[in-house]
Amino acid sequence: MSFSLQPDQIMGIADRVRTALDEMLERSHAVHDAVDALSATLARVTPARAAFDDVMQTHVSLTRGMVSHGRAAVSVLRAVVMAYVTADEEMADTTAASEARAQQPLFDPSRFGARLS
Amino acid sequence: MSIDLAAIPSAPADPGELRRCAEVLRQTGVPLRLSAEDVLLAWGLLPAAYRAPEAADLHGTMIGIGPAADEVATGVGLACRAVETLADELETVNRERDALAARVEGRVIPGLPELPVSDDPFAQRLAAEARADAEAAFRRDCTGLIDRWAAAVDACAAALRAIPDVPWSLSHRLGIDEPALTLETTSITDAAAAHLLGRLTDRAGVDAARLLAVHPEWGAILRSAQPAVISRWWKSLPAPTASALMTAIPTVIGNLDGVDIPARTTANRSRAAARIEALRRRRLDAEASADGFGSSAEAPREEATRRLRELDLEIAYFEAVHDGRKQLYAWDPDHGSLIEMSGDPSRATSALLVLPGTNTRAESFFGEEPITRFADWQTSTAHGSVVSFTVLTGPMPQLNEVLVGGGPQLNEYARERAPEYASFVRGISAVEPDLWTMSYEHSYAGAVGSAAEPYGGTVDSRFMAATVGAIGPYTPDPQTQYFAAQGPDDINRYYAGLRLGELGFDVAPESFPGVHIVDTSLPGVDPMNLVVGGAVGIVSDSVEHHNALMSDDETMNGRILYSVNSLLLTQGIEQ
Repeated sequence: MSFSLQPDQIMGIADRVRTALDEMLERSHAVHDAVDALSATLARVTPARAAFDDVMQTHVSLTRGMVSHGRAAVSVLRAVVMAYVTADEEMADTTAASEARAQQPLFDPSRFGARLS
Repeated sequence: MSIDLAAIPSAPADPGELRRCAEVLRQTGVPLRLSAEDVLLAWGLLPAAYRAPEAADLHGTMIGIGPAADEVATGVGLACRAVETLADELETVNRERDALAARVEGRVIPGLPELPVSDDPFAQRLAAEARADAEAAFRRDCTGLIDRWAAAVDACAAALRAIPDVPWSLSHRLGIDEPALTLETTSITDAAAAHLLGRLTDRAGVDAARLLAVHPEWGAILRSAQPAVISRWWKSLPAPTASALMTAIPTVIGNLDGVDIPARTTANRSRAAARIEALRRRRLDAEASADGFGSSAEAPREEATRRLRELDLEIAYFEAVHDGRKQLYAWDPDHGSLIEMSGDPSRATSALLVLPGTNTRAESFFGEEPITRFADWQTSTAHGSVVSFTVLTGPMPQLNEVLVGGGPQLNEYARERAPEYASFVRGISAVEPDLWTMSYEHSYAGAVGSAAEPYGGTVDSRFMAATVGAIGPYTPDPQTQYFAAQGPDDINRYYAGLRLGELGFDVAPESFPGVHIVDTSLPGVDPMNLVVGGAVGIVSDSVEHHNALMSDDETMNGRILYSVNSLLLTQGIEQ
């Protein structure tokens, strides 16, 4: 697996998803309001209203769950981005050190003696 | 139970209202599905930008959103159908109720006295029995109505209860975190940029150049931030730190929307010396080529001579920038952007943003007849009240690219330039919020101005000079005044308002709702040209009249020059 982190693109994606989720929340509110209005219209037909409320409550909850879940994922992405912008100095140093180590010969004759030819 | 209209039961719900509410509910479900698609589409790009072991779980996080949106759409659809069926049933029974009411009404004819009943006991008894029978029938009819309404309601309830429950796995996976839903979200890019700006500012900015050299990707992050965020940061800097940053990273400061205007022009002015030096080196090489020597001696001499002329013009331009005779607000040769300013923003009451269209390049700013003439005329005529910008935020279409698949018929240039132009506009608004802003968009640039509005690139007034209009669907900004002007035979009139996919623009400028049409006083088709030059003569005139609207020649373009000037002066003062 090749690793890559393109912070500017990740931020663009994260903000686009965040905005879409904000819009989704507004639309979830609209569904909720529409359900309430229809439920009020069913006020005098109690059995239908009760059934309608039962079934729609779970669906309205699901719309809110979609937004909530999405926002949780975006917050993880936000944490990744913030980890990058706050810690990349350290990461760069670590990477540089590990690269330097990798370039050293694995066999050190000063410690283990010369190889047998 | 007496037989009268008041005794007839009424329907338990209004079918019309049920249908209306069901339709509203159904309509709210559709946009929700579209939002889910937006989320999934954007999230689907993540694996290309973030590949790491810990990222695999994150990539799959949104997997439940699509099925959930389907579940909601299905549930809402079935519920609405059940309610609409109830409305139909109620309406059928209502018709029977209406028939019963009509029968009851028919029993009593208004104004006609009731027939007297005989005093004979037998007759009395017969009459009583007949009345009892009628009342019983009426009662049965009323009960029948109630029963049928109740049956319809029960059927509706049964249909609603038959809608499958949301799968537990889905509702469990997509649990609600109420606090997360009440919080207002903030831009991640802005947060990251603010942090990076803080790091650039650490130790009074002495590390800024090194940090940007080590992290070249920071530049893209900073440019993506809201100009308002940049503006707050810049205004908070101590003067020595700001000065250090202008010296250390002039390319970044000189192109960062939200940085104060004088700081940007100063930073870009400081870049001019290095550019002049580089251009002079190139000139020496070109000179050697023109003389038949030098490293590119194989290049044709004519080509080298032409190159020399171009270099001389560019050197002269950057010498003017270096001397302070010209003010560069933005300049990124790698991207192809150049924005020249004329005037003093600290004295001005209005800002004019001139967007030249097709064929504009950085080279259009150089030479004896620069593209900035229209803007310069406005600044000069306004005697300090107007600051003007001639704006090139990136590559614009070129006519000579038509044969190789480019050119001004493609609308992709407008889509690409729109966010850049919007950022420029928001940058000006962030640093000079009191300026009344007007864009003067010529030719292709009208499509850029239109496409920039959804990105927040809105101005107080847009003047569309012989522009192509907008990519549809287009809705004008309610806070913006719109003006349109073009000659009677302008070349744009032959195709504005036509679009097929990525070709053309489907909303002609003069068809914008509420647009004010301004007379150009340009002549129309000259029949003599048709006689002398045929179609070529006609097209040549059309192009000339098209280009005239970028001219500073008052004899040719005086009507538009003064119309724009009048708006800038009067509106800016009213602001």
